[in-house]
Amino acid sequence: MTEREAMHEDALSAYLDGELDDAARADVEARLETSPEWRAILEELRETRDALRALPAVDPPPELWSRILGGDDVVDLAAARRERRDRRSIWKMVAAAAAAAIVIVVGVAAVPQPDKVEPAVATYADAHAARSSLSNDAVSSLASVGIPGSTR
Amino acid sequence: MADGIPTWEEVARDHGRFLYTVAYRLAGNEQDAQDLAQEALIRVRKGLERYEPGSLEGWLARIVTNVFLDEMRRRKRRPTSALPDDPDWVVPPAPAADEASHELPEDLQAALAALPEEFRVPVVLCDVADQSYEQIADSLDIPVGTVRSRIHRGRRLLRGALTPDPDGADPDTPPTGLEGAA
Repeated sequence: MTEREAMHEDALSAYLDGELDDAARADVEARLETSPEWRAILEELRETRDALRALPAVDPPPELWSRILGGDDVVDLAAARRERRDRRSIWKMVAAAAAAAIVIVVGVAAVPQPDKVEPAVATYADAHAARSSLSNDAVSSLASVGIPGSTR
Repeated sequence: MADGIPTWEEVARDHGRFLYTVAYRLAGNEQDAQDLAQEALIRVRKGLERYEPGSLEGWLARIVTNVFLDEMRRRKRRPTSALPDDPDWVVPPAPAADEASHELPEDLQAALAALPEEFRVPVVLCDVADQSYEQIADSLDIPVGTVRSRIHRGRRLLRGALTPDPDGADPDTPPTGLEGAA
């Protein structure tokens, strides 16, 4: 591939803007002579650039200048607007958190619970105590004392 | 003005319109443009002591661009309002064929506002603020080659958005062969 073929199309914008050195400009002009496609693109670019450059200057509202030249109110205005945006954001987050909490609570309540299985601790303890009283095993006797109500 | 350094009031009075125009073309709407202009002037006031006489408008364009980019970053972190720079490329409806030969400023402004930020900023700095590629590269801290490719691609996308496609093809399809250094 020759250098000319490798030349990227964005050289056309740089050419239009006078941003190319002499050698690159000569390359673009040589390419333009032989390529109708490049000439068409250049024309479109020129129209778009001219339209952009013809966009009118924009006058700010008069009260903006008086506020700005007035001094400290400038800071307050921009900060207040930002604060309002942030406040809206915080309320949105609070609402989202509340909604998430409701979903969790409802979800937990809706999930069917398995049948309750409670270890019959008192039953086992009483049986153990009964066995220990028969065997006079000192260790077993101590264990049964450790469970409140088991010796009643 | 002392030692070539303007006072803050002189900047606001003599260059406020330029600064506001750049802010408006970047932001795409009046309210955000006002915020940008205010914030930029606050930074100008704070930075005037460090200003080195040279291209005052180049310096102002750089400041308003930095304010704009800071605001874009802030909003992306906390998206609380509609942004003109939705990362998805959104093209305004193309005008009818018989309207397309001469773009209306409002059509062009709408297309510009819909252009992704990475293309819009260099295009505005080049064609609205009249900055050189080197100045833009310096302001945005990107290579000159990237500036060149983004300006080119931005203009091509604008052209595509403003030109109706007779075949009815999707107008947001970027032109082929335009991938550059960006």
